[in-house]
Amino acid sequence: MQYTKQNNGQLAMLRRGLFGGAAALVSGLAAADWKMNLQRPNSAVAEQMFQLHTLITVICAVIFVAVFGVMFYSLWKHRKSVGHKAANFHENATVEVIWTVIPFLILLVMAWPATKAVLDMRDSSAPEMTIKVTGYQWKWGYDYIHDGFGFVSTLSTPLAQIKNQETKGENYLLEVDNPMVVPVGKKVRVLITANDVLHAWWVPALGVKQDAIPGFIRDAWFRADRPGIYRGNCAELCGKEHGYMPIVVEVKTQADYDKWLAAQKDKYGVGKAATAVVEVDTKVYTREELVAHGKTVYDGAGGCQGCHQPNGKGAGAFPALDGSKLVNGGKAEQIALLLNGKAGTTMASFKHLSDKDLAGVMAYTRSSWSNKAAEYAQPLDFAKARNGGVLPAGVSSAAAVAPAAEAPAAASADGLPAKIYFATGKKDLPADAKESIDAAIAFLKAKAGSKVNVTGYTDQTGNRDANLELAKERAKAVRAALEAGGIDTARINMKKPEEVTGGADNKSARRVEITAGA
Amino acid sequence: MASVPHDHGHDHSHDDHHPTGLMRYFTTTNHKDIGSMYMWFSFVMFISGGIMALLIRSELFQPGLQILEPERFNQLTTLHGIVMIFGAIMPAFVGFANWMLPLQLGAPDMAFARMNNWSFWLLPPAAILLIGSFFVPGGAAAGGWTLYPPLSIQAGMGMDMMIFAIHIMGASSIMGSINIITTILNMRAPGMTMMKMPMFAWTWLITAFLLIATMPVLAGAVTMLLTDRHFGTTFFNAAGGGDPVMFQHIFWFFGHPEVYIIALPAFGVVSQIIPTFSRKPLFGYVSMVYATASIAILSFIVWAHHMYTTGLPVAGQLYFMYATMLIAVPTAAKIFNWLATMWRGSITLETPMLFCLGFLFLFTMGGFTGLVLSLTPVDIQLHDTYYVVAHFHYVMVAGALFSAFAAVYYWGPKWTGWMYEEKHGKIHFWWSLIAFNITFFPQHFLGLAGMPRRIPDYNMQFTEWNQVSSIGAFAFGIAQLYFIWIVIRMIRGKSGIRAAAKPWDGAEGLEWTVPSPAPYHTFETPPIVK
Repeated sequence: MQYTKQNNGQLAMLRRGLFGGAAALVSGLAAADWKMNLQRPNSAVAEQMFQLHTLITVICAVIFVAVFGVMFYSLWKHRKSVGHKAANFHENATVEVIWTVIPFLILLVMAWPATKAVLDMRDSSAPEMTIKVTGYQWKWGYDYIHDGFGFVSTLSTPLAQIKNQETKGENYLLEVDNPMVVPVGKKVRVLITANDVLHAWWVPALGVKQDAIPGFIRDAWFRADRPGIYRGNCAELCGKEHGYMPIVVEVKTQADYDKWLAAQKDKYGVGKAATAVVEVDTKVYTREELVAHGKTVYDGAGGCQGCHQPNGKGAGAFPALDGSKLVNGGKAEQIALLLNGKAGTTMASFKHLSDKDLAGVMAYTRSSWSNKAAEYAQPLDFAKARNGGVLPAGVSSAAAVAPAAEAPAAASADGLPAKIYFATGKKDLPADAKESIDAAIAFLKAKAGSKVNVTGYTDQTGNRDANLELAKERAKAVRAALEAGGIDTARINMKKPEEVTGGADNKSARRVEITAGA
Repeated sequence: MASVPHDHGHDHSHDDHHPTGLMRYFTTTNHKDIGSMYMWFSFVMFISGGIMALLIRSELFQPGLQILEPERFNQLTTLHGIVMIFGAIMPAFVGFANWMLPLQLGAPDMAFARMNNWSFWLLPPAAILLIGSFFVPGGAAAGGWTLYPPLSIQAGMGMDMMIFAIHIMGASSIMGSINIITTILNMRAPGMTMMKMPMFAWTWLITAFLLIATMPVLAGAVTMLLTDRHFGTTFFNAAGGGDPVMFQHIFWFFGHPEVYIIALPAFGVVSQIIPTFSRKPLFGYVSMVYATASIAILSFIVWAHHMYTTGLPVAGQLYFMYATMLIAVPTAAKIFNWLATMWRGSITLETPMLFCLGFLFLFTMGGFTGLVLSLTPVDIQLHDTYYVVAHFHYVMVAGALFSAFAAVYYWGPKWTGWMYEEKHGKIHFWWSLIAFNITFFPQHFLGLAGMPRRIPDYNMQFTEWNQVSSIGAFAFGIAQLYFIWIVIRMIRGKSGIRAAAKPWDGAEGLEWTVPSPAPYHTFETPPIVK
C-alpha cells in the first residue's frame, strides 16, 4: 500500500506534466478531440493499469532520449565530413556485461508493480453480485443470474447515421438500447461466454477486457468508483458487424440501482404468480402502420439489415429475404423463426424484441422489395406464439376479441384455439376457464353456422383407461359450460384426441382445447 | 545436352547455355535469377498489400461507412496482413539471401539449385489463390490474418483458398530454409569458419531454423481448421470436445517466432551496413551472434503474450509476462552494439546508412511499445486496439521494410552494376520516414483512447487522428512508387555512375571481391579466406 500511495503522487505529477501539457496544447489548437491517453479510470484495477502504463511509458521515453542522444552525438561528432578518423576498437566484455545487466534491473523494477496489478486484476473472489455476459453476433446478453432476469443489449445508433444520411449523435456507435446497470462501489463479477464466435467484453474505464469464448466461461471483475455511463466495444473480431456491438455500463448509486432493479423485476415478471397479468399489445394495427414501424426496427435496433442487408438481398451465408419463400409464405413459420431462430445458423432468436417490433419487421419484410405476401401478423399473434399458441393467461378475451368487430374477416378466429387447464385428477371447470369459454362463445356467435371442436387431455400419470374417461369428462364439462352460454349442442363437436396424454409437462397436459371447427 | 554443339574455342563461361526469354526464368537454377525473381515478386505483393491498406485507410478517413461494406473491410484487413507478411516481407529477404549468401560465403550457388527454383515457383500460385479469393462467392477470408476459429469456420471458400495458399507458402519456406542451412553449413569458402561468417549469414542461418521449426506448426493449425470446416472434426469446437483457444496457442507458437523470422534477417542487414558506413568493425560480433540466438530461443517460449485476454491462469499470465520482458535484454544488447559500432567511427550518411538509422530509431520505438504491451495489466487495456496496430507496424515496417530498402540501396549496385542516384535515395528515405510516422504514431493515441482494431467505423472522438493517419498512409504509399522509379533508373544506369567492384569504401566481405554487376556465375573456384 505504501508503495502505491507514494507513486500516486509522483505519477500524477508526471502524468499532468507529460500528457496534460501535450493535451492542453493540442486542445487549444482545435475544438476537436485529439485524445491521446487512456480513459480516466473508474476502478482501482483500471487505475493501476493507468499508472503502470504511465510509469513504463516514462521509463521508456527517458531511455529512448538517452540512447538516441548518444547516437545523434556520435552522428554529429564522428562524421567523416568533419574529418573524424575511425577508431578500431571492438569487443569489450565489461561494457557488454553492463549493458546486459542494467536493462535487466530496469525490468525487475517494472515487473514488481505489474505483478501486483495482475494479482489484483485476477482476484475475482467474494463478489457482491454476479452478471453473466454472453456475446452474440452481434449484440450482448446480460443475465442477472441471482435476480432471475436478463436482457439483450443492441446498438441503438440508427442506420441512417452510419450511412451518413443523418447527423451523427455524440455517442455514435457507443450507444445501446439496454445498458448493463450496476451499483457503484460493489464488487461485480462478470461471467463471460459467447454463443457463436469469439467476442471480447471491454470497458476501458473499468479496466476489464475479457474474451468471450463459445463453450467456455471466463470471469473478470470490477468495482466502479463513480456513478456514470461507461462505454466500450467488442474487442475481438467477430465478423461483419464487429464494429457495431458496443458495451454500455451504467453505474448507479445504490438507491437508484435498487429502483432500477425493482422496475426490471416488475418488467420481467420475476417473483410473480404465473397467472399475473402480462402486458400484451392487443391493438390491431393496419398493415401500413406495421410496415412503417417495422422499417425502423429492421434498420435499427432489430439489427436485421446487418445480415440481410437494407435491400433484403442478404450477403454470403446470410439468405436474401427479397423473394424468400418463407417470407412470402404462411405467417406461422416466420413467426416461429423470428421467435426461436434457426439452429445451426447465425439466425438467432429475436424474442427480446417486443411483439409490435416483431410484427412490424414481419409486415415490413412481407411488403418490401419484390415481396407482396398476403398474410401478415398482428402483435397478438406473437404474444400467442410465445405462449404456446394460446392467449397468455390474464389477457382479457374482450380485448382480444374486440378487434373482431372492426375487422371481422381477419380476426374471426381470434381467441381460438383456447386451452383450459385442469387440476390433477379433477374434471371440474377451473375458475379461470371463463375467458376461454367466452372466447369460444364470441367466435360462434360472430359467425353463423360455425362450429367448435372440444378435445380433452390428461397428464401421463395414472391408469390409461381412467385417463381416457377423465379426458372425456373434462370435455363434457366444457361442453356444458358452452351450452350454458346459449350455444346449440349441435355446434359443439366432441373430438377424441389422437393421444390422450399429450403435452410436454403434466401441468399443461391436463387441459381441454377448443379449436375452430369446420 | 550431349547433342548441343559445344564450342571449345572460347573459355569456360557457361553464360550461353541457359534458355532465354521467359523460359530462362521458368527453368533457372541460378541463385541470382531466383533472387531477383523473389524480389520482384515481393515488390508486386508489396504494392498489392499497399493498395489494400490504402483502401482501409480511405474508409477510416472519417466516421460512417463511405466506400466499403464492413465485410469487404474485414477481407481487406485480413488479406493485407497475410499478403504483406508472406508475400512481401518474407520473399524479399529470401531474395536477398539467394543473391547474397553464395556471394558472401564464396559459394558458386545455393546447395540445392533445382529445389531453389521450385521454392520460388510455388509462390505465384499461392499469390493467385490469395488475390483471387476476392473474386469468389463470399469473397476473401475475413477473419483476420490470425484466422481465429470459430469465425474462420463460418467463412466461405475464400478461407479454403487462404488455407491452401498458406500450405503452399509454408512448403516454399521450408524448402528455402533447408537450402539456406545446407548452403551455409557446407558451402563456405575454405578458411571461413562459422565465427568469421558475415552477420547476414548468421541471422539467416538462425532464421532458417526458426522457419523449419514453426512452419509445420502453422500448417498443422490450418489443416485442423480445414478438417473442422469440411470433415466434421471438432478440434476447435467446444460442443465436440475441442477448444477455440487451442488454435490460438498453436497459431502463436508459430506466430511469435514468425515475428523474429521477419526481424532477424533485417538485423543481419543492419549489422552489415552500419560498420560499412562507420568504417569500423561491428563492435561485438560474438555477442551479436549470441544475442540473435537468444532472441530466437526466447521467441519459442513467449507465445501466449498474444493471448492475455483469453483468460489464461494467473500463473500463465505472470510467466508469459516475465518471459516476454526478458526479450528486451538481448534486443537492447543489439541496439547498444550498433551504437557502439558507430561511436568514434568515421560516419557518412549515404542512403543505406540513413535507412539503417531510421530502422534503429523506429525499431527501438516499436520495441519499447512492445515492452509496454508485455505488461499484462497494460496489455489488457491495449490488446486488440490501434496501439497494437501501431506497435507491430513500427516493428514490421521499420524492422523489415526499412532494412529491406537499406539492403536494396546497399547491394543494388552489386546487382545492377550501376549506382543509384543518391539525391533520390535520400528524398525517398526522408519522405518514407516522415510519412511513416504521420501514419502510425497517431495510432498509439487512438489505441490508448479506446479505438479497437479491425473496425470499419468509429465514434467521432477518433476522427482527427484517423485523418492524420490516412493522409500519412497515402504519402507513404506514393513514396514507394517513387522507390520503384529509383530502382528502375538504377537498373537502366540513369545515374551514369558505374558501380565499382567495391562501391563502399568501408565495406568488408567476399561479395565486394567480384565485379559489379556480379557475373552470372561467381566463385566457380572457391576463394581462400585467411
